[in-house]
Amino acid sequence: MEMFGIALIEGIVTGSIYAIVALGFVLIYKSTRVINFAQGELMMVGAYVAYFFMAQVGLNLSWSLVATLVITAGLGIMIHYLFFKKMIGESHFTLVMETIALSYLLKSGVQLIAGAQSRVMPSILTGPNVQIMNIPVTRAAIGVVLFSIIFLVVFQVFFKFSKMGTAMRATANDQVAAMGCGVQVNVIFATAWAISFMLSSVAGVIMAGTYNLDTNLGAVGLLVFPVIILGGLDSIGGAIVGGYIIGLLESFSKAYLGQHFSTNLDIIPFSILVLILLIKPYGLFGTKRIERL
Amino acid sequence: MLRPCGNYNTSYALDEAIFQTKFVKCCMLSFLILILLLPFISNRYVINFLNITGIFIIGSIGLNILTGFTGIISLGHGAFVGVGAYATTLLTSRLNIPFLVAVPAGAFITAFLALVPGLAALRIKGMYLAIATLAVQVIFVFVIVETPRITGGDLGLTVPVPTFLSPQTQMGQKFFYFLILGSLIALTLFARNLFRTKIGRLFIAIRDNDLASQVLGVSVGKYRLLSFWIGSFYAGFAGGLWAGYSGIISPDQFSLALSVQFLSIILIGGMGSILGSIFGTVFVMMVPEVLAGLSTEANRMFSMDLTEYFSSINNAIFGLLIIVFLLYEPLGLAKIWWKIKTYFKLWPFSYKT
Repeated sequence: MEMFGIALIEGIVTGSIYAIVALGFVLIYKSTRVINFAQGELMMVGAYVAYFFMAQVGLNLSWSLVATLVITAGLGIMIHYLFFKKMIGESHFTLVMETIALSYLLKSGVQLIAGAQSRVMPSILTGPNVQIMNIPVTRAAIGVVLFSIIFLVVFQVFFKFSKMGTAMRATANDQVAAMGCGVQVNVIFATAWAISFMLSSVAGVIMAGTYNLDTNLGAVGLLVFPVIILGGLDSIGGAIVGGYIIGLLESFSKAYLGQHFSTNLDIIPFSILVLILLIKPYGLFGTKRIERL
Repeated sequence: MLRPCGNYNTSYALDEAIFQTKFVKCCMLSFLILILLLPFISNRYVINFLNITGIFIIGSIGLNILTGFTGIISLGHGAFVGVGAYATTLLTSRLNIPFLVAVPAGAFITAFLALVPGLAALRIKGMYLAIATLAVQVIFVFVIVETPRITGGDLGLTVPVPTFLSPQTQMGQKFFYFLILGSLIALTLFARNLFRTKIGRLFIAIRDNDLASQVLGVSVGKYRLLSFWIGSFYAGFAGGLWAGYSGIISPDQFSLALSVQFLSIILIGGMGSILGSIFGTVFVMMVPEVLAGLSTEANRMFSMDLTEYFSSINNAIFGLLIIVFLLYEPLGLAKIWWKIKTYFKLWPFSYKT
């Protein structure tokens, strides 16, 4: 029973992280049709920027987080104008290769600037553990979950009600029609990259706080694929639900099956990915397109 | 197609010939003689480089058939190379099958195993299929690591030294050079000729417009599967040769990084071009060598020790190369080669078409 509880809480925490990263991924996919293989590297860069402000500059948590968000938003806009502006309307393969190249550039760039050694992130929330149903839960874990829920709600509201959010949804729906209504598609794309980078950096800070900060942090980014395929490639709600499902699955499989295997159990999310692709390719909440083969 | 002045093809066969003129034939023949003589005049370092490059050319031709010609983006090509390597190794070490038989056998095993993920190609396409092949990559590494009794797990396997005819004659580096060269030539010719047959033309038709080709009566799923089969055969062949040549295989060798390397090779070389696979592989394999040379130079001249940053710089340049080619020459080195050729053929009266 205790194992169950621990796994449950761990799953919710990882699920929150996955949900945030997947949300960033879906945002980019929805507005620009780019399948972003560099999402994990965006996380990693965000974590390093936050580390720089917290450990090297010495700002406190909230200010360094604000600074990180500003900088990563700027980087996201830069990424769009440098790499993807010319690529609008190119084939899937081109866009995928571009993001893969981007991930190589980001990773090696961080390695060159910050060095490849692993660092310890300053702990974010400290204090005695909280007891939930007799299971000790760290404050950081509760903070992570609350924080991600706030973030998810804020972005839902942004998409539903703000002018920019509406324009983004319009662009996602039909680029040409949105252009015709006076939406500046390039600005929308740049915003999507900026927001996605911001979201990923938040997830990156959390990840780096839970584990250690090194340049391999981005490897988690691959797990975003099971999440978004499960939820549906272009569904924001699906990304959140998928994130929590995959997070829970991972922690439960680690708790109950982990001792039988020597590697981490990435295979379970990926088997689910294959299953979903074969049975229901558009995921739980994705838009169905009438297109066979 | 452009051909030099005064060459008039009088038959369809002449029109379809791979080597069009006597000049080209002479060039190819002298090139062949050169590469046949090369191992006798160069050192071990160069032969090693050529061997690895040859193996990678075979693998990248396979990926080009799959991605460049049929339009199936595969992120699992590294895994297929790995399957070939493990199959060949297990065939030689467990069943004592001679290496020269085990390599093609391993390639066949890879090709048939690839039909399992290939079945996904019957149902999904485009990016969905690419993500499915990503899953293949993850599953492959998992299976290898989790079955240590058969595959050696994380530590990998030592490949028995390949022998020829009798157990005493071990295959050396030069033997491998000719083995790789021979299979490379055979497989290149096969691939080149494949796209002059019905099957190859159908691959191209499916890439260009799958819906239209289905309407015209092409069984799209069947040919996608066939493309998977052929592409993985090449991958398995390359993997088998690689295992025998390097003597040790481990799961990290066949990670996603290898798949990405193959993808970037065909991107830099030229999608949908056999020649592009060759150019791309030579180019991509040269980059780290040139970098290593430059970093020793830098070490000597400015006493900067770059060895620590070497892999990062290498990866950064790798990423930059991909982006530069995507932005400025999406059809790769093969297209650049074609432009150069056309320039000289039309000189001095070149004009833009």
